[in-house]
Amino acid sequence: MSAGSGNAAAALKPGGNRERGLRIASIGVRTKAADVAQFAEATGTAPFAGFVPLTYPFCWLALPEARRLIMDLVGSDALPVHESQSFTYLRALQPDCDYSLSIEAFRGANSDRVTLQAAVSTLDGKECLNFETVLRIVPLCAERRA
Amino acid sequence: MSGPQFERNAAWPRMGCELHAQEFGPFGREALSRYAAISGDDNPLHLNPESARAAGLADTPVHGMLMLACFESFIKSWRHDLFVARLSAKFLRPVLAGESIRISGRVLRSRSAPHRELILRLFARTPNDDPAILGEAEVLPAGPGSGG
Repeated sequence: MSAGSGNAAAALKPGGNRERGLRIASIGVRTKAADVAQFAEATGTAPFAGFVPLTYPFCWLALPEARRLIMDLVGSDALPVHESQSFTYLRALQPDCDYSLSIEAFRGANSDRVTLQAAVSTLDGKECLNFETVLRIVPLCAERRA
Repeated sequence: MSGPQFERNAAWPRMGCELHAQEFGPFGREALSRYAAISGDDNPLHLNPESARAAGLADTPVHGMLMLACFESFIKSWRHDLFVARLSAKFLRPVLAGESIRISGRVLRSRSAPHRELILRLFARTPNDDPAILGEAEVLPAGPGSGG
C-alpha cells in the first residue's frame, strides 16, 4: 500500500458532548500492483489474480494518518477487537491506480466501540466503495499487563 | 472448482442453493505474522500471546480480515463469473492461531429481473463447529469495470 499527502485529522462537530468524532478528509492511496499481489498471496485470493481483493482497502487503515485517528479514539491501555466489517462496492478497484480515501471515526461517550466509516473514490471524484469497521475496545487488565 | 462449469451452464442459482463448504487454514503463527506485515494490521492481540491473554483470550486470535478474505475466495471458487458488490460480516467468536475455519453458504435470495442479483448467507465455523463469522454478500454478474 502507499499513501500520498493527506489532510490532518480534524475533529468533527460534537453531538453535544455525547459523541467524539474525528475525520480525515482525504488521503491519497494507491493499489500498487506488487502490494496487491503480496496481499492476495497472503490471503489466498491469489488464484483470482488480476484484480484487487475486495478486503484490500482495509490495509489503508494501517497508514499513519488513519492509525493515529483510530488510536486516539481507542486510547492507551486498551486494544481494539474487530467486531464487524462491511464493504459496499460501486465499482471495482484496479491495480496500479491512485485513489482518495476519507475516513470518519466515532466513539460514543461511555461506549466501548469505535466505528470507522471510510469512502474510496477515484481522483476525479467517482465513488468506488464504502466500508465500515466496528472495533470493540478491550481494556487490558493491569495485572496481566505487568 | 465449479466456476467454469456454472459458466457453461449459465444457470442462475435459485434461492436455497447450497454452496459446498470449504476449509480454509489452518492459520498458524507464521500466517498471522505474514498477514500482519503485508496488511499493516500489527495489533499485538494477533501476534503476542501475552497481549492476547491480557485481553482475556487463551491465545492469539486470527485476524478477522484474513478470514474474511477467504469469503471472497469461497464465493469466487463457487462461481468466478460474479462480482461481489457487498460483503458484510460479524465476528462472533475468535478463531485461535493454529485453527482452521470451515466456510459454508446458501443462496438467501435470488433475483433475475430487472437484473440478476444474489444474496448469500455465509458462515465460518471453528473446528468445534461453533459459528465464528456470520456473513452476507450481495453478488452480481461480473461485467465490464466490475473486476470480476
